[in-house]
Amino acid sequence: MNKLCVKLPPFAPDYSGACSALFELGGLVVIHDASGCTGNYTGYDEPRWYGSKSYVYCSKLREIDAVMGDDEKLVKKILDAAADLDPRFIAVLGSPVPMVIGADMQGIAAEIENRSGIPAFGFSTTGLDYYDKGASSAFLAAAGKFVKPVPEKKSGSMNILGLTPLDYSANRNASDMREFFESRGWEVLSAFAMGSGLDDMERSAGAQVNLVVASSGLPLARYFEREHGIPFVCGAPLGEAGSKVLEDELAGASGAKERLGGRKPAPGRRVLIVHDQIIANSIRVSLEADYGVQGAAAATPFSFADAIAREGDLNPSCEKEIAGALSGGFDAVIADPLFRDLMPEDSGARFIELPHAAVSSKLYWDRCPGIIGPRLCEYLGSEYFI
Amino acid sequence: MSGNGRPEPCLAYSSPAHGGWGIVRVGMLVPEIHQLFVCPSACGRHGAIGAIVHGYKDRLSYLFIDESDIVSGGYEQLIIDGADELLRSIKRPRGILIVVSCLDDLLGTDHEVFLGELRRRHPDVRFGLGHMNPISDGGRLPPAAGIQKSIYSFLEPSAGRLRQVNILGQNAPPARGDLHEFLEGMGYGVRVIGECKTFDEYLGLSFSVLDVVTRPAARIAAGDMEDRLGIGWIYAPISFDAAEIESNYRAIAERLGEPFRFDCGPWKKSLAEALERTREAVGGREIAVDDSATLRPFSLAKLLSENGFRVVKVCAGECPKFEEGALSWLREKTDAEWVEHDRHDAPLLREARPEMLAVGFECAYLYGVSLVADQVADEGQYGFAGITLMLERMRRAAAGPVDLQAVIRSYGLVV
Repeated sequence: MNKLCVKLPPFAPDYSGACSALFELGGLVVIHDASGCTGNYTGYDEPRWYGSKSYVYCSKLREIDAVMGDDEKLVKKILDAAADLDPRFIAVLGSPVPMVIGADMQGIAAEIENRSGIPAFGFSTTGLDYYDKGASSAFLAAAGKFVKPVPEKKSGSMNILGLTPLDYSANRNASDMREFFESRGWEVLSAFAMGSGLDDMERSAGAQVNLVVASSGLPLARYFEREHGIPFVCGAPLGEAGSKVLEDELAGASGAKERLGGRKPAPGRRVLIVHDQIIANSIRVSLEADYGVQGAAAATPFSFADAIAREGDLNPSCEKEIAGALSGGFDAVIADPLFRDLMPEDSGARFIELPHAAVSSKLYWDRCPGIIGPRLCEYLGSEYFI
Repeated sequence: MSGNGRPEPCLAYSSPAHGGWGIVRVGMLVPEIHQLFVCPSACGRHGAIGAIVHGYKDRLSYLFIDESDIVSGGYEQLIIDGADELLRSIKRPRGILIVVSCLDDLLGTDHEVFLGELRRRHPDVRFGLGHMNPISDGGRLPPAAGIQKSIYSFLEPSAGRLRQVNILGQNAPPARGDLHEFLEGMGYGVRVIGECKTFDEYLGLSFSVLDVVTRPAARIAAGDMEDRLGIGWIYAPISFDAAEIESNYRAIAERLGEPFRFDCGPWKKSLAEALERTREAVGGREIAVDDSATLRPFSLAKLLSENGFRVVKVCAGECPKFEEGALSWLREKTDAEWVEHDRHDAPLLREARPEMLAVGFECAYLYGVSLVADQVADEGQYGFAGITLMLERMRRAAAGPVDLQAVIRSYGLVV
């Protein structure tokens, strides 16, 4: 990995992902930092922040506290706030400084839970990883704490895993996704974590199947499979025919199934899709099913699972490698607008903007399109792909 | 005035109106330099997005560090190699400001190790050091003061002096008015870093005879300039009090060794007229002011209250020492409420007061106000002309509602 980043902004960090996953659940969320980390999340990674009453705070960590390892000050601030705000749970997240001083975030959370009687989580987020890792941790922690075992599965029910605005924006996508499945006879028990509360999560172990719509939900899917015997499918209902492919896979899901793996790319016009891996994969399915495009490659600078990758898919880890991927001679690129700056001037590839909040933050999150079901095709249009 | 400010430290709330210029934007006041942030990737996100909004991302790069860089002891070498690579990747700048983050405070880095080596390797490029380290807030050199020091650190001792005065402390230059008339009337030019278009023009600041510091954050920078460049300085802060403004001018003239002959009378008259016009425009409407608009919201509230405006809220995270006089006056003479907008209970305090007029984004957000004076961080403030500009913004606000969310967004606040 090359550590120099000249053109792109840093992407959404792990603590933003964790906060985003917990945002709608009625908890008290505290980032243990001086101010900038909390500002990153509330100002740049959370399109739902304006007008919300969610309790997300900065601990106001100062040098003397860090040097002295004074966790009691943090614990007391959190207990005071909890007494005023009466949250459903408390989450305390690390940032770069707690990482360096070796703060025990889980220990701090245990102390808080012990003294307040309120369920508490500690996350060793560091600001070094990306949002999907943080969201994964938060999903897992919430599930571990709140999901209750059920005697039997509810036929025709499902959970949606990995749903955050950092991937899907705060537009209609989350509600469209739920509507998409409900209109086809599914009962959505819980969506981790947009449009669902803790009460929904509590009963989510009764689902017949889990649908993982972004990589942040994959560890949770494996947890559900292991602990509650729920099979899962990876993919989002994107595109008209693309969604149908997913529906068929969902209906047939009986055991663990990570779709979209193992097939080799067919030759043809080549498209590069840069996004979360599962979203990029799902767009590829739509390109194939709706447009007959073969040879599309998925690329992501975020979590990359070999099991759901195809040959030729890419996992660039820095700006230089992303630029390299974009220079791969593709006919078209579907990616966040900021990646356009990394395209070679003579590339000749058609660039189709698909804003990704984890990349470009508030710059374009109002322009994130609805992409669920046929809306993706409406957005992509038909000119190029027919 | 009611509301005391709670003495107990508490969790901090960052509203969507939180922020200001940020370290990157202030650093960009030095023309033709490039900033290289050396930090974990997360630390750079807000500054980078802000830089894109404000149009100078092409002058900002990042060198990401991780745990292994910290424990391996190769941190300084990483910076040297990173700066070398950066210089191969971009158009050669006049200077590079290497900005380190909170982590650096804990590492005990010897910055001269990499600065010295870089200066040796690249004699045509000046290298400076900046800190984006909010962990030091409340300490000896908080980040707001540190970056002020950094932006003047590229200056070098001059061969002589010119009859000109630097204004330090405000990122946006003061509105042209009494300050300029006062100084130019004595034959002194007014120099402000925010008005320098080129690096060479910026270097000309070192020829000044005096630094006038208008906000406390620049005091340390002024002290450093005195030590390194031999430029004396005087603290003459932004004020909403006519007597204090006049007294500031008197002190500046004395510091320059000039007789004080400036007539504030016409400026006072013009301010009185602006107050009257504004009072007519605003009427009996309730007003809230906050500390995102000015460092001295209590003084602003006092001025407005003294002149017949109905100030009902002063939203401020704290009351600094220099505002205690105004706070006492407000407590004695008004029933305005001091509201701490950054405490953990702030989300519970939000209420819809759409009929209110807000001076500052924080109070506008807290009360769902759509009549908003877009005054940020004392931009344009100084002297009578500064207050007049602020009143003009209030009249504009009274003229009609705005979409607050859009206004905040287009301003590009940076934490």
